[in-house]
Amino acid sequence: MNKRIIYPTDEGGVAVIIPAPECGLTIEEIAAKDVPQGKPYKIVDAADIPSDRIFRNAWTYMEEDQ
Amino acid sequence: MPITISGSTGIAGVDGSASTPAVQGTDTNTGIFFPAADTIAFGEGGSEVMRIDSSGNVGVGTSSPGSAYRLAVSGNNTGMSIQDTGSVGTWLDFKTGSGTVQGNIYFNFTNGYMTFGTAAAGSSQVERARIDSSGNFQFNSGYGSVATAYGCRAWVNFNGTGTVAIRASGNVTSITDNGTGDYTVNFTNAMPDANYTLSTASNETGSAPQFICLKQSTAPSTGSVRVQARYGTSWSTQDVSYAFVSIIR
Repeated sequence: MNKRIIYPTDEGGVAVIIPAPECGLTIEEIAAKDVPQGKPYKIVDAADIPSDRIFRNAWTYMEEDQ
Repeated sequence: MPITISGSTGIAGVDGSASTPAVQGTDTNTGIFFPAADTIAFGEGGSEVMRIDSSGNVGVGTSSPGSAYRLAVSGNNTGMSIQDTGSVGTWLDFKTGSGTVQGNIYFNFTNGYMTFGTAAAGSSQVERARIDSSGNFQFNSGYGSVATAYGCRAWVNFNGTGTVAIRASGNVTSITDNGTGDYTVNFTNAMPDANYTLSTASNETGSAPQFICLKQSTAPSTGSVRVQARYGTSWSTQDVSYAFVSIIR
């Protein structure tokens, strides 16, 4: 599944949900289940997530991404 | 008035059919008939319900029990039952040619458990596994005796570096990448409670000690568990390329 789900964390960062390939749920079903209740989220392509994680803790969830 | 037959032939010469059996009572469409050579069949209400074929195989609900089955039962939404009128125990034995019970399935009514027995060739069966009345599965796989087995309820193997990805998993819908070396494992089916145990490991990425632990000041929950990969004397979080997490309850 080449999709990811992103949502803002309480600390001001961004969380990225990585689906399990064998779980049998759609990306929408995973979002409904695993995104904390009340959090805005967005489904994006895996390629849109930076692979360079040196500054991972500085990533933020931009308002325009909502 | 009863009929008395002398000699060794008995009643002969009539094969009958399911609708008109050769041997009948007062009900003319119920009785015994002979549909083929060396074959005996039983009919009820004009339909065949049981047959013993020319090989001695018995078919209930089928006229073709097949050569591999001494007893074949066929029907729609049907079953077989073994009743113990004393409600003590019932069993099914698997015997060798010499009569040794080498395999066995046994149900104990008093204590509500079912056991399964096996043995080496020619030896008498010994209990190897048991499902108790509470549904606990117990077996002897090198334990020395039959004991309850506690299962891995969820597991995941993932790469926490670069483009984070799950390699394989069981009972896991996703992992959440919360930051450097900080991951949440989300379960497909929730745990019965949060009192499970967590088993983790990771690959070595440097000379400093490294481990995966429960995130500080967080408690496991029934739906997920948050872990962190840490290393060195400062216990800084660090991404790991191989993370292994399993949940046992």
